[in-house]
Parts: sequence; C-alpha cells; structure tokens
Amino acid sequence: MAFGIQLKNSSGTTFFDSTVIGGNFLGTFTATATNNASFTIPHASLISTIYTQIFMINDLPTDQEALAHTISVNSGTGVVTATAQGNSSQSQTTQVVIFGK
Amino acid sequence: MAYGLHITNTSGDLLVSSDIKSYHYVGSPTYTGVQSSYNNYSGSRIYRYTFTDSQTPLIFIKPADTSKFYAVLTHFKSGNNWTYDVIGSGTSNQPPTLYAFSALSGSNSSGGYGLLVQDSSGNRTFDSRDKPLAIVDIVSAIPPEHAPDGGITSTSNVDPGWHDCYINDYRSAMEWDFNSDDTHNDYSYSNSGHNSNYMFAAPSIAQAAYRRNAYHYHCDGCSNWIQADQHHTFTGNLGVFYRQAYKLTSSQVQAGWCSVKEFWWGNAVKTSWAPWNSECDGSGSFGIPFSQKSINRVSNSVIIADATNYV
Repeated sequence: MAFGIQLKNSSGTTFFDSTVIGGNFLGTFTATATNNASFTIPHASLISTIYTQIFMINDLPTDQEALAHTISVNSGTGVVTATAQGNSSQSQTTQVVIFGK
Repeated sequence: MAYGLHITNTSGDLLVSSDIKSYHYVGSPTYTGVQSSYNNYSGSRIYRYTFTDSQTPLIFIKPADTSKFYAVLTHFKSGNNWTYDVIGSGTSNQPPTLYAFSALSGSNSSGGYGLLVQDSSGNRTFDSRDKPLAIVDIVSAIPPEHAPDGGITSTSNVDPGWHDCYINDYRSAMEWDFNSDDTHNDYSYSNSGHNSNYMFAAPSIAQAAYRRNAYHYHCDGCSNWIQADQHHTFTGNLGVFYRQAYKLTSSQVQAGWCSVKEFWWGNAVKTSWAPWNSECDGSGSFGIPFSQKSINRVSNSVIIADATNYV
C-alpha cells in the first residue's frame, strides 16, 4: 500500500486495512421503554454517511406487539434521537448502535 | 481536535479516533441448544446462547448454512448475563456461530507491539492486540411489507364445509402460501464472493402476523316441520407469526422473514332441541397478538465483517 494504515495479527495476516475498511463504529446508547433518548456523535463532520442499527432488549419474541423506538439522525449536528412508540405495554427498551462510513 | 489520534481514509472518513471507543472482539457466546422448533411452511429453529459482559455487546452471526436466513431474535439481560435467541430458517438444526464485540475495558493486553490509542483519561479506545472490529461493509436493509410468499391474506371468511367434530379436517380450506423463503429485498455489498467466511450483525426487529378466517353454518330440518332443527356451526382462525431475518449470499444481503409459530383454533358446534343437546367442542382460543400487518419495519443496518479474523 502507498498510504494508510495496515494492522496485522501475530500470524502476519492483515485484518485492518484503512484502504478497504467499509465502516466504523461511532457509539451506542440505550433508550428505555416509553422514554426518548439521544446521543451526539463525536466528530460528525468526519462522517459521510451515518447508519443506525437498533435492537430490543428483554422483549417477548412471539407473544406481544413489541414496538421499538423510531430513530432520527441529524447529520449536520451528529445528534441521533430515539423516540418511544406505543403504550407502556408495547414500548420496549431499545439499544441504538451507530456506524459511519 | 486539540490532541489525540484520528485515522481517516482517503475520502476523509473517520476510521479510528481516540474519542471513540472502538468495538473489539470479546468472545463467542456459548450455544446451549434449540429453544423451539417450527416445522410448518418454511420452518424455523430458535437457538439459544449465553454470554457474560458488563456492556451491551454487538452480536455477529456466522451462518452454519449460507442458504438460510438468520437473525438475533432477542437480547435478554440479567445483570451482566446475556441470553441470545437466534432464529434460523428451515426444518433442520443448523446453529450458527456467534461473535461478540464490545468497547475495551480493563488493563492493557499483553504483547509488545501494535497500535494502542487512549482517550484523555487514559482509557483504551483502540488496541490492535485485542482484535478490533474491521467492518467489510454496512448495508441498510428492510424486508418486504408482507411476509407470506402468497402475499397479504384476506380476512373474509372462507367456508370450509362441515366436517362434524373433526376439527383438524377444517384446516385445509384455510391454508395459504404462508412460506416466506421467497419474500425478501436484495442489496449488494462490497467485497462480495467471500460469504462463506463472513459474519453479519443484524437483529430481528420487524414482526409480522397474517391470518385466515373460516365460518360455516347450515341447518338440517329447519325447512322441514316434521324434522327437528339441528344447527351446525364452525368458526376457525389460522395465523402465522413471522420475524425479520437475513441471508448473506455470495453477492447479496437478503432482508426477509422467518415463520416462527402458528396460531390455529377451531370451534365446531352441533346443536338441536327435542331433546336439547350440543356436540363438539370450542375449547381454547386463537391468541394471535395482532394480524394483517408488519410492525417495526424500518431500514436497519446490516454490518458485515470477516469472521476468520476472530477465530
């Protein structure tokens, strides 16, 4: 490689190469059931595209109408907001994981 | 930045920062067995795993069979103990291998070389000795609105005819193409062609449920004054519950569905007077939590990485 950074494991195999890395973890936060929450991404100006992944914690997988939070992203400020949905029996704790590339 | 380290790629996108606690490999959750099986339609298995972590780890799935759909169905937390249920499509047991990633904690790893990045408090944010997460690609994916291969069901009643008190004989008239293998949206990803080595982090958020309804009534003797009236009534419901799941083919991320369980209930009653009597049974109830819709159906990120880096 002419530029960038390569990291190799103890066997000499490259596992981290800045020329091919397809994204980066930026942060994570928990939005508890029925409550809204937000998170500010550090150095958002250095991120072209922000991606979010959500999953519910301690929901019942097949026996209830479980609603995750809805997510909105302000790419200018880097603020990610999770808004609770449904009533108290429907709303679930939601983990929000943020990536960028 | 006033101090610290930023590593960016040629596009200026941030890859490593002393201000961000990067994910590192923290172990492989322990497989404890099949939690439940569903063998109708496309079928599914729910595989259970356990793991201990004081943080909330990100879970990757390395499929046991790249032709099947998988997703992390549930994240149960009790203290630092995590239990994961992972859904896989099909009617055979093929549990995937899981990989867990969290921010670094604790003291430095052993080893005298590599790249160590710390924040202003001296906490490690990136340490090449602890197998940092190297992402191959991120794909934003959403499953189709309706899970059944046959499309959305009609809630209009079908007439299954009269089958006396044999409740299961009413079911065939209520059947639908409730399979879900062919219902998916497809997305390309970078560095494809190596999916047999790849793993993906993709929770199952969306749920869907669809149903068919049945009703039958006829009366023997109601139009014949010399014959006692005998009323025959059947009411029934057949529904299937789905959860979102993903397949990683050699060239695509496929966002689709797994049929998880079914709800089936029938009530046949035969009544007459002179003398009054009632036959058959109406015990049980349908119990489906909702129907004719999908919920939590939003674009969610699928994170792809090479599992061979973390063996």
